[in-house]
Amino acid sequence: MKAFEWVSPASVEEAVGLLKSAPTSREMDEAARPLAGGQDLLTTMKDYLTRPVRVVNLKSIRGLDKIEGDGRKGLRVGALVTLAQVEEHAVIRRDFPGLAEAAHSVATQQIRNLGTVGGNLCQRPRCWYYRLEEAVCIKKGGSECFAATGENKYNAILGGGPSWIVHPSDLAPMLVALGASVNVAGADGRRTILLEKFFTLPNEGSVRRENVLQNDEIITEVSVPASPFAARSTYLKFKERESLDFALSSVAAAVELGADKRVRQARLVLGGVAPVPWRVPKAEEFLKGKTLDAEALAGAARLALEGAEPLSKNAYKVPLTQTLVRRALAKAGGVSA
Amino acid sequence: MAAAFKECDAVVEAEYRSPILHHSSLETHGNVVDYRGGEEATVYASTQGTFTIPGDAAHELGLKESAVRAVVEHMGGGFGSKFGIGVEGMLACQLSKQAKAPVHLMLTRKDEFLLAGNRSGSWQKFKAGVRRDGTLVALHATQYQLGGLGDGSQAGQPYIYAAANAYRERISVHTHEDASRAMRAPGHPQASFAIESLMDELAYKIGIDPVEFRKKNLKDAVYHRQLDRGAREIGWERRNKTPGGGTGPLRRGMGCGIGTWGGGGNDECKVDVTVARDGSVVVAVGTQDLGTGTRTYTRAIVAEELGLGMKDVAERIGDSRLGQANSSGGSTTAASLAPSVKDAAVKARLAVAERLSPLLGGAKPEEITFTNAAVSGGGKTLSWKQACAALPAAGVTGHGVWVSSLADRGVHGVCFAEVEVDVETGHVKPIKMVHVQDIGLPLNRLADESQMNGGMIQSLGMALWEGRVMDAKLGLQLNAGFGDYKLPGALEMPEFVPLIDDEDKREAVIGVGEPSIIPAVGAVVNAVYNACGVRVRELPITPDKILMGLMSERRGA
Repeated sequence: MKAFEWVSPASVEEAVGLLKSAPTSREMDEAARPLAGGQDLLTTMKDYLTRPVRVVNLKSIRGLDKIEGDGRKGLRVGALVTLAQVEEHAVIRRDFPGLAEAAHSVATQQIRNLGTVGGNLCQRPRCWYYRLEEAVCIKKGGSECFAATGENKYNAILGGGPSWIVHPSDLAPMLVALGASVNVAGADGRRTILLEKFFTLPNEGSVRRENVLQNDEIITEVSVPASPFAARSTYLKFKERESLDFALSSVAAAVELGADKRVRQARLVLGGVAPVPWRVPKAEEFLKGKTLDAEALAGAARLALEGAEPLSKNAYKVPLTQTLVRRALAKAGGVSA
Repeated sequence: MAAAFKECDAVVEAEYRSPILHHSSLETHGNVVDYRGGEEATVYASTQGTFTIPGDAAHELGLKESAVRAVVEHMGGGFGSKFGIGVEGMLACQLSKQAKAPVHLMLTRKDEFLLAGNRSGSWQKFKAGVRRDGTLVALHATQYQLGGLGDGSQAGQPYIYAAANAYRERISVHTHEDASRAMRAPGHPQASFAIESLMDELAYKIGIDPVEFRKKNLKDAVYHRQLDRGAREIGWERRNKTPGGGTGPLRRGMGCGIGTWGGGGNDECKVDVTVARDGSVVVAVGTQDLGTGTRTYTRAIVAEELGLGMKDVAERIGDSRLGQANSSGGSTTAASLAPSVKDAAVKARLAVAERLSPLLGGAKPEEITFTNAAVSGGGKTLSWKQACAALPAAGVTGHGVWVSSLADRGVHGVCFAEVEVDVETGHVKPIKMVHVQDIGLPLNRLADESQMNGGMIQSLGMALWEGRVMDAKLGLQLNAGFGDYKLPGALEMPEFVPLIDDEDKREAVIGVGEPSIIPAVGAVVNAVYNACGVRVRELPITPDKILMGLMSERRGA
């Protein structure tokens, strides 16, 4: 690990000021970095993927660890709330069950005790070429995505490159499905960003980044609006190893059903298959007015994977994700798959 | 061979591959070398061979071997990868010598994956044929050992089974990866996985129950007995009669496999058991405990011999200044050490008895009994304290050496596995595993069962999750860490049923560490086939392989 300056600001304003004022190159990997739970940042520092000159400890800031609201008023979750707090929170479990499931699906209890909501959304990709110090891939300033023709079993089947990472967050697909926004603070002020617009594909914006945050910006809060589908939300994650793993594929689903059991609206977002949480509006549209029978589930599954372009070793993600789409929709709708 | 294949009613040609695996000891390789100049040095080592350290360190430090003391009080796992001081120990010696200070150098986890040895990968190509009655007539095998810079290891085919006509060639393929090292039953799990897959394919092809097929081709009655017991325990009759048969996404299946191991002991251990005048008992030998329970049986054997409780005996191990002991390799520790401990304990008992004879009515030493912390003879009984008070000031010591009649070698072993496969996701959930193992005289049934459980767990890892992944163009390992090199965790564990085969009547000690890892890989692989009808011939059996197998089957159908 490269030596760095450690600072513990008392306020958000001080924190973003410290992020801004650090002597730094423009590259995020060299810039001052904010630290919350540290579950990802520290591993990237140990592997020299990031070499921040200054680490700004956000845990010294009070007030970012609150969960407020409910399914009627909408939910506000501070960026420093831990994943364990989310999965155990009674109101979230009742009114936003998919969010509690997504939090529970992350890593291990130990990591969830430390990992935060903000950190989970901002964590860096798991692609093993990206994580390998010796492989200078396109995300680290090189010219090539080694996964495109290499060992790409865990990589993207959607998104079109030129980097084939998948976004590693489990909260992100669920929060996108729930229509959440993030409140962001930076040295030049605050802004609110719809989470769906927060993540960036490699071919839009910098290939080295996964979202729109500037180097001096931090997430302070996630806000989830009240919606008629939040109570029927679910997150289904498929792991190669149940005990501890990132998603090979995951599906966040939420549906609003009418009295006639027909779908009034549906939200469907795929994880683990694209560089961003991959919302599938065509499938959502298709489900409108349908009862969640086998035919509707199969149709949505087919549409959800439309346009998938598997690499040499990840074609399995197509049938796998289709299964998860069917199962997630069935679970959200309270029917059998 | 060509003529023999003509006699066959069914022939299978198949290739099986297993990747390079890692020992994954939780404690990485490393040492503290303490040499501050002068005549002597001490090395605190993570090793499975206390006595492999002093010579290696002395060479680096420029000292006599006898001037270097190795201390291995505790160590965090080796599985065959920790003999000698290694390059990391050599560096620590050089640094300590220059700095004149103790140097603590442990490998990082990444180093551990890249340079601390591996289980060689395998690529095994077969053509094998059977008669309609299941008799294996001909087998042709080409075996490649993938040990990086090392030669790798692989037991010869047809492993355990006999074919009337058999031909094999074994070839080491060298790559620029680190050298293979011994790993828990070197070469056997690879060979067993391949031949058990092949036997299963032949059995299904000719339409014979896989257990009956194996019995047909195994002469040794012990295998028949163990297969029957394992089949009973797992409920073999409940297996999927048609591989992949059933309805719904979750399909269950069963499979089996067999193994063999030598083990055995050697005359390599010198053990002292000292009884002091205050009643304390110490058993001392330089051996190491690499997590297999060596400490426990060393103490237990002495306690039993002297009629004392476990708390009444202390063991001192892991120190090259104590009596010589062998390295822990080949499952030879228990069979080498336990007889020597027993011998030392018997001699100590007789030495105590000799001193007590006059106090016990002149009873013959060998007729004096030691039970429940009391010594009896000639109609009299002394408490242990009273008895020891009669000893000379220095106490008495029994010097033990190996007794060949107390050790044996050669074991069998079978494993049965039941798994559940989700045919819509490719997920494999292990349900139950049964391992039946002959081990002669069990020294500690709980520890033996623990070894068997550990063997099943490590096999499960090999079958379903573990494997080095290299990028062919960059020549770099992509999963040199516990995030991407996936060891099974608590949620992957099935019900384990470790069964000591007590019909093995040998009153002699045999090691159980290695035999318990061999047959389970084939059992799991065959269970997956029985459950979902997809024969995956390349380990590990991850969901992508099952899903792609199911898809190509559907396309074929």
